[in-house]
Amino acid sequence: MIRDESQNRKDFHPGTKSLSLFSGSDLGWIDRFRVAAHLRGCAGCRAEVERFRTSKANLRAESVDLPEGLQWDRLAAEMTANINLGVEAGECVAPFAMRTAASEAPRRMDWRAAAVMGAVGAVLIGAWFLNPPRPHNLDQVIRTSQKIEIRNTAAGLEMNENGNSLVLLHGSGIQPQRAMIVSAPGQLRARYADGDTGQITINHVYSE
Amino acid sequence: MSIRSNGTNRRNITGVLLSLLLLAAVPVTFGQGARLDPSSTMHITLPEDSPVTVVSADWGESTANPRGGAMLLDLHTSLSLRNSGSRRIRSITLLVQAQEVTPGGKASVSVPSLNVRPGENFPVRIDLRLLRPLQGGNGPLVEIQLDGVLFDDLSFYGPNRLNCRRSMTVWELEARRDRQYFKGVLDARGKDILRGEMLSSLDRQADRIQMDARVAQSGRATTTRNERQIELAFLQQPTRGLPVVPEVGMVRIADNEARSPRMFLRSQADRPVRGVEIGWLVKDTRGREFVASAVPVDVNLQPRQRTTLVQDVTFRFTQPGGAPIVIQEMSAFLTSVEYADGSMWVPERSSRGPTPSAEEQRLTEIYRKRGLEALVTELQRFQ
Repeated sequence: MIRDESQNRKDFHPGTKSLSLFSGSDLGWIDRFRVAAHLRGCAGCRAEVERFRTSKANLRAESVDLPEGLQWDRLAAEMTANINLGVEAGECVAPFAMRTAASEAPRRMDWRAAAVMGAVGAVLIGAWFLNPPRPHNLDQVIRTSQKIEIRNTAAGLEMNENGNSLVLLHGSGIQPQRAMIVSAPGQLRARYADGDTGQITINHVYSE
Repeated sequence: MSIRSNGTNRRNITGVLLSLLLLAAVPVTFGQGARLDPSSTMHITLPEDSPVTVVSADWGESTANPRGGAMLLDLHTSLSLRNSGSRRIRSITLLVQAQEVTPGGKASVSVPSLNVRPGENFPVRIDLRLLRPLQGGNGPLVEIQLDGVLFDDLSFYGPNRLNCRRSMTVWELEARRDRQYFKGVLDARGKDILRGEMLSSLDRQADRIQMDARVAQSGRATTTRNERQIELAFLQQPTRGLPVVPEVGMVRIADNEARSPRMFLRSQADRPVRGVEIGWLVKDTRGREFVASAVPVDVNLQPRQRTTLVQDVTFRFTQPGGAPIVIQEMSAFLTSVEYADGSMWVPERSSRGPTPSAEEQRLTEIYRKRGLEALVTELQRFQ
């Protein structure tokens, strides 16, 4: 037997899922009507629905039977005792939490603690005066400085260090002079003729 | 009621217009920038026995403009210096330092091709731009010091902290060579030929600007599969008269890097040589040529001896915009030789490198701006 949920063709039968739902009266009313119409002419599917109903009835019957020797009265007494115990434990915890919150309120500093802190402060200030921070000399600044970038821009030779820059301009006019650039490792040199005097000026930046 | 209303509207409109005018005036005011107090920005220091003295300093249009969280300072000065010595000054180099802005870097401004007689004044322009934090120190931002002065007898004065003596001597030797050449052309072949020489020099200078390359010393070579060793070509230089002859050279190249150039040098000089300066001409895969300048190399070469010059460096060549130059061929040329006694040699004009000298640039500029007659007068002035 081929079961297909589509049920478009007459040769096909409702699926197991539909039959199971039909047996428990859980199918939608349109599908229930369609499956019922099919069951009227199909003995196989009727038998399948009957098996589902039988299994469900057996399961219900088994779940109703309680284990032998179960004493309902004793079970109820134990459950009541447990609940009472929980309530009493909750009442014990609440005052403790209140006491803890009260103990965290700011308290006045003890004079001994203040004396210790004052002594430590005096030692630290004395140590600072005895060992003042030394100013960095120029060599240290150069050693610790980041890498200097040198480049040629339309305006001139630029030397950039940590975002600050120095640009030797190719002339002073609005239109920068056309400079002949000479490059060597760590160096850039720009040569241009002054627009007014014709004098040659050679600008040079060094990164090393 | 309506009259009062009109009056109120008129006052409102006038107020809005005044506000707009004020708003428009703010950027104009900031754009012009505040004039700077020169004494707080630049400080010029010359030694007591300096052969030059400061006559005056024109601070021109130096301005300070706030830009975001920084201050942009445009410093323009034209120093008028006097030759207070007894010899003619040929060139001068001033060291420029901005300790607050770029404490790790140095800059210099040089003026070559001078001819300043004793007692004469001459100008030196310094135009620079500084970008520094708004909260600056109280001291001068820029310190200008004398680094060197070269005289007409090639003697030198100055602390030479930037090793400028070597460059200044080379510039002066090249200037003498090129002046003599153009003077020779004028005397032997006339003004028309001199004009032709000027025009062809201007063409070469325009071409040279297009051949600009950057060379940087790379700390670590990039590992790549296509590294290969090529033989270094040498620019055609007649060996007669060369104090040092590069015989053969090799270099490993990969992409835009040249590693460990090695050259075999032979001395033809009768004096020991302590340094050579080598220029590089790089041809890329499209056949374009780029010039990356002279790299000075210390060498101990005794008279008539040979030596192998090995540089354990990696040079990285790029175009000015940063695009790499994929090296196809490399040529080297000798640009100067320094003898152990401090004297210098520069190649003859016929075998010089592709970069015109500062003097050639100056003479062509005189021709371009002031004409042939001014050039002739200038050439005769140096006799």
